[in-house]
Amino acid sequence: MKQLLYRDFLLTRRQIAGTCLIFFIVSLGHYPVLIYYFIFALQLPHIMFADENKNKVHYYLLSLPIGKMCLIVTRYLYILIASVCLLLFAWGIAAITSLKPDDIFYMVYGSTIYGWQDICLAFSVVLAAFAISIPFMYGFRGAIIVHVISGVMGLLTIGFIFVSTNLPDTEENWKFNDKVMTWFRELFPLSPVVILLIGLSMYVISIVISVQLVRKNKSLD
Amino acid sequence: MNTVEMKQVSKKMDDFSINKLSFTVPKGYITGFIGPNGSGKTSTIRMMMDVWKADQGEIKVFGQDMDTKAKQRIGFVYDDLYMYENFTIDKMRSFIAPLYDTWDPTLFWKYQSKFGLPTTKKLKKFSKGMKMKCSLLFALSHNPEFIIMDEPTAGLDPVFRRELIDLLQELMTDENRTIFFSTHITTDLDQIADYIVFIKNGGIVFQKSMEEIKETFHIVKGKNEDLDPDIQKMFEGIRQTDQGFSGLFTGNLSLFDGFEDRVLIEKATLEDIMYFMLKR
Repeated sequence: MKQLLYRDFLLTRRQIAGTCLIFFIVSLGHYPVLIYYFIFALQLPHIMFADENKNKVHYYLLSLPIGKMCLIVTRYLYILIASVCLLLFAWGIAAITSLKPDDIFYMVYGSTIYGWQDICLAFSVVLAAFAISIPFMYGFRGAIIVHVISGVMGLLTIGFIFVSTNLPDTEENWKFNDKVMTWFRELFPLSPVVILLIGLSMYVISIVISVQLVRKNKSLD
Repeated sequence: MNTVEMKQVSKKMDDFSINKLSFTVPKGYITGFIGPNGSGKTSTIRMMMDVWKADQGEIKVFGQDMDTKAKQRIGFVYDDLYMYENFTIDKMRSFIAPLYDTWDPTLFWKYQSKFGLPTTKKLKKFSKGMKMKCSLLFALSHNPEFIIMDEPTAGLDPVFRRELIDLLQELMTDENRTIFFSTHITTDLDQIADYIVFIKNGGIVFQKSMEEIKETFHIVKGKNEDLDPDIQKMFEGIRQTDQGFSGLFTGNLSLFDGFEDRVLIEKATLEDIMYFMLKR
């Protein structure tokens, strides 16, 4: 399992480093990083599955002394770890760059945007997107399907961001928290923690679905 | 002792089926797995490696069901390099080596040097020959007892094919090592195989040792005027041209004693056997 996590890190390390750099630059400009987090986190499965499916790497992986289930569970675990790390980095870097003693606006801005509710909600949305898209990537072997699924999930997420975020011309300037939380509360009268639990449950169900797909020889063959 | 035992293995797929396949891969020998394209060679290997589950039958590798422990003892070579194309050999090694209990770094560097493979070049920039060498490098570096090769020579030039055959012969100096070599290029096997398993349309046609094959199968060449319907029935397969006929014969050669100089009898190569048996 350790080696598979390492393999996934090798596959995504450049993208993760690039994303962190973008988060840092964006934070210096005092723009809310969480919106970019959606875009970049959703690319993680795409990066891993597109290369694997294109080159039929699963054929090779299955000849190695690794169980099929281990291959799937580790992939999910890595995506979870990487997306949490990216989120924490986005949160941390924005908090640090917002804390400018001579700039009260950004202080307020930073602390408002990256509250725990935002983190729960952002992470839940990303988890739900992963939970829906990953079984398709296991269920269909083609590289094109991975691009299509990633494209669709990306469009839906960007759509969600625009629906739920105040646009730049508003006074609050891409403020993420208030509108999305209000929007979500209207849609689901649940607390962010419950939404996070739903996201995690979807993720676990997604693992079970992917494992079942592979058990039935629908993929990884 | 057999490294692999397949008994009455069947699998139905959308457009193809494997029917009651039974054969063995004897330990310490090179077994060639021959058959035309689409005959079920790769499907059989996938079932052997537990990539596909058989619908019926029993597959034993090292006397047990295939699991990760058995895979520790197996080196697998595909017809192409199914690895991460943006990885280098160094990166692949850092991922693969710790997976094997018996990984031998000395052996890895020995083969890397022997094959002349660059360790920092991305795999996608490798030529077909380099890809095959890379596949071999990773398959051999953990000192596998059992090497499975699925069409490893497909698309390779004759020079590298010859090098590969030499390497396999060198590997077989270890008497505990077993090689299962699937190919439709039968000339590769004429030189090195000890046993042959012939598959056609998802079923085994025969499994014989090379000695048996040499004793059993003959090519008989003669003139068309000597070929009457009764004689034609004696052949496994026959080919006629204006110049005469040639046919695959598996019976008692003394039947041709009366023909004297009018027939020419030769030992059949694997290519002859495959050609005539598929033509039948």
